[in-house]
Amino acid sequence: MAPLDLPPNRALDAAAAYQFRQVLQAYESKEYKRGIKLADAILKRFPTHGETLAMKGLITYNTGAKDEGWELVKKGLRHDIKSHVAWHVYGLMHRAERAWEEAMKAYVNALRFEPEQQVILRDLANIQAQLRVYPGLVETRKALLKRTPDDRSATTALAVAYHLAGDPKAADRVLEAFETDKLLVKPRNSPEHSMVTLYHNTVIAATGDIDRALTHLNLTGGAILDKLELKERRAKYALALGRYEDAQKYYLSLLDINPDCYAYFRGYTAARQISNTDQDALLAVYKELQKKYPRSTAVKRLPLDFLTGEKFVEAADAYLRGRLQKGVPSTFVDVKALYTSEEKANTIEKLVLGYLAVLEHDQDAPLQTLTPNGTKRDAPTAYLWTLYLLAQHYDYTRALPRALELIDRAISHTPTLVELHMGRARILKHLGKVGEAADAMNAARELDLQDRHVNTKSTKYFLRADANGEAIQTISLFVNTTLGGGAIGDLAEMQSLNFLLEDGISWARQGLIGLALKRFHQVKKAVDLWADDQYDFHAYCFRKSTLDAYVDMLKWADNSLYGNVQYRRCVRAAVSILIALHRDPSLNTGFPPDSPTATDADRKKDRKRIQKIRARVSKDATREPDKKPEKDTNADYVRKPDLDPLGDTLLQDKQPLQTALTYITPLRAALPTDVEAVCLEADVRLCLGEFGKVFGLLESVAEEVDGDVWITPRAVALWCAVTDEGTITRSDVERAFFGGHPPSTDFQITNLLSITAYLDILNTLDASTIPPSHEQAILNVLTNTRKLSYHDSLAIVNRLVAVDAEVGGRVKDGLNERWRP
Amino acid sequence: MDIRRAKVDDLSGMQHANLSNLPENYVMKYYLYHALTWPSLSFVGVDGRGRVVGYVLGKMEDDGKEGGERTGHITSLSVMRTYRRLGLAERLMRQAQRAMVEGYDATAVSLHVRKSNRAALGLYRDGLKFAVQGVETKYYQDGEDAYAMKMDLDKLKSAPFTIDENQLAARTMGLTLVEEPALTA
Repeated sequence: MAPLDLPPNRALDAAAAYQFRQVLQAYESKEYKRGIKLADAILKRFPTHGETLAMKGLITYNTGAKDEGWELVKKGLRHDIKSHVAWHVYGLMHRAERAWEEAMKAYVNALRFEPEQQVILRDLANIQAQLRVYPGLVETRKALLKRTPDDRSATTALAVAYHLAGDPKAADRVLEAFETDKLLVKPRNSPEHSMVTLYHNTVIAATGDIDRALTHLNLTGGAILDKLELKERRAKYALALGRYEDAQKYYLSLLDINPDCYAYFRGYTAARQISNTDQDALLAVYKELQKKYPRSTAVKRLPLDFLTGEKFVEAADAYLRGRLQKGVPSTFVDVKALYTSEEKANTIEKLVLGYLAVLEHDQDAPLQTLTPNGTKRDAPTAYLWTLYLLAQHYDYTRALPRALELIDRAISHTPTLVELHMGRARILKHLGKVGEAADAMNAARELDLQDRHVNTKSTKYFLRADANGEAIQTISLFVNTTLGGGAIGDLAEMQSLNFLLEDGISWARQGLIGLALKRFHQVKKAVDLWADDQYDFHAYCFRKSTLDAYVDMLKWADNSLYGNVQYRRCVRAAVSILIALHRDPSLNTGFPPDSPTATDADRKKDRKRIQKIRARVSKDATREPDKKPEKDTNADYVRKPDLDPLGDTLLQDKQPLQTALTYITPLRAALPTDVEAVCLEADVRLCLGEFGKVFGLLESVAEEVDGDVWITPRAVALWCAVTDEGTITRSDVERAFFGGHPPSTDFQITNLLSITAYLDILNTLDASTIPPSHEQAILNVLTNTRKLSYHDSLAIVNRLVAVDAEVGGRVKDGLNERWRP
Repeated sequence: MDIRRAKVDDLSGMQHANLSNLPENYVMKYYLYHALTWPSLSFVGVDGRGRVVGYVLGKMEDDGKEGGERTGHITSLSVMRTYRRLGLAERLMRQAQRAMVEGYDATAVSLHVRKSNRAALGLYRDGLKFAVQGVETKYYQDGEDAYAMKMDLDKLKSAPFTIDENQLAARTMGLTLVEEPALTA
């Protein structure tokens, strides 16, 4: 209902008012042409009718003419600044562009003029949820509930808002009141009711009253259709309350449903009140359970985690023989987790060597009984799988020549087994032979062209060898290249973060930072889209009553979405390039800088090579769709052509440091105390000259364990950048990070990160000597770090050579044993 | 191998496994749609580090019919090659089926298999007792036909969920399992 004192330009006659309602209807049903026609009819007679202008703008925007749409909407708003319709439309426009803050402001304005408009309230609630403005969300949900007090989904929405705002007691009250007063007929066999009941239970548990939560389950159990969830909660609560008899019963009933769930076994032994260190008691329980669940693998595998000494030997022996006899290729990856214990790793080695000795003698010997007169006739491939397992073992422990010897033996036994060739490629990778590794993995791939898994591995190995052309060719066999944008377009659209990242890191290695930046940008866009995907679910989940899952989604978005490994790698790599761009804007050509020793001929040849690469990448990325989209297809479903396929535009960024911050900010929000993330921000802010902020950032993580390797080089850089005047002085830095003294190059080398930290410090302090103690320590670390990639090793050696050519040369020679050029 | 109900936190791991193993892929929003509509119907197998090495993505069909048949559907199922021969696929399938029966009173479950994928066809038809309903031409994005398969869940309601391991383990070597083309938004 519009207020009675209409501004002069809002009044419409009856005919136009009817047309306006038709415009709204046309928008709702997506009849955009009709909507615009009707709007124009109104505007002919009322050219300054703000609300019509705004609606016409909204509809125009949705046809794809976005700029024109914005013009009209803004015009409409100017002509009728007090119209809730105009403000609402303005908010919808911002929402369509995912400008959540702006949209929220617009909705709030709309509600000033029309505080009870349900549609606007709902839109506002969605945005408040998206922006995590929980107290505001509570108020909005209250207003909505007032309008439809008997509506269950409005009630649950308010309860969830209270819960999110940190008040589970209020949430409980709301839900309880509804069930007592309004739910006269309890729904039977309703998945929605089941989920609301479970959510209510979540809220009760969140208040801390576990006893009541358990009672609640017992009272409402009949309405809960998700029996697995019901049983899991009962078991968890009973255990927390110390009702061990009940807990045991519940965990056993869970194991009946799924005897492969580790959490159920652990819950059961906890309910039997057996300490984690009481091996005998634990083993006895597992032996009981093995009889009960003979088909479960978990029941046989879990004891290997807690057993030690002779008992471990016995259990591991039985387990391994069983797996090898069956020919399970995953045996090694299964027991790999045990290798954190050197004792267990050695035991396994000894056992498997024993099997091999018997099997070498007689390849058909059964492993289950290694007596001279073996009873069972078992699969002859036990010999093969034993070789494979042992090869993987030596690969893992980096006894690489032995690993290679064993895998080659296995391959001559069974040349067509894909796993063996994959294993061989892996060993070659660990030897630093990235080119040969890629060839070996490709050979594996050719043995099973139908399997995408080995295709994915082959692609990755090509990228590690900087064979980007072969990589995209390989993966193209399994992506859809017909929708426009080529293979890379499909990979970006399907959010293939791994490919995009590895490709980008490879380009960065080759000095093609434009292409690298493009890939990292694509990764960020994909992850940003995940964050935006949440939006529709703020309304959807209340229609479907999937409340627990909804709350989990919000937690995921807050903590895991930007906190995952892939995004972190992306940020690390992108920030490094952006800082380099800031320091040397001449890098923005899309070609790596020429080597100082290159001849003219070399330069020409290299340029030609890179032109070819750029042409190939561009051709793929700008490929037209095979079929033209039909005329009336919604613009959003048509893939837009990539206007910057080579990242050249990204390289022209005049504010690369600000761009770097857009990468870092969501990472920091997800992982606020993560040392690396803090230091990445510190690096950028140091370049920006924000010394106070840098100081604060470094101070905030100064107490972190192992923080040294991250913080010290930055503290040194800060010390160099500041003077004895200004907000932060050198004495401040010395006091906070160096025990009151100026920083020195005396930094302990203990691991890989400490080497790069040390090199950073030397670089900052312009030092050019590396004392023998440090040289030795560096060589030690590089030789003995199991998980060192060839590329990382090369990068470190190159930096050493740049500081001190002799030392670098000696370290390189010392590494030859490891990398066998 | 640790098998448990899939959580929202597992979705990116499932997407990664799907992209590594199968030609039919989906954007994250489609995974969210499953998790936030049928939270009890997806399961994962995780390795020692908690990474997803196998998954099943399940849903209920929107039959639109009141009463009568309620059909569950397997949108996607895959196990990393390095973790095959562990009966992971069968276990994931059984958990999903059980959840469909208990939570939604499902009477049947359906899925699609590529016509050329004889191994998977064997697994579902002979191992898990699915029946071929018919062929859907050009079902997949690349134009390949699919067998539409269906299994009655009535008999599973009373009987225990058992699997003939030895027979099934042999079939899961080097398999491409279920894949469904994504729906447009």
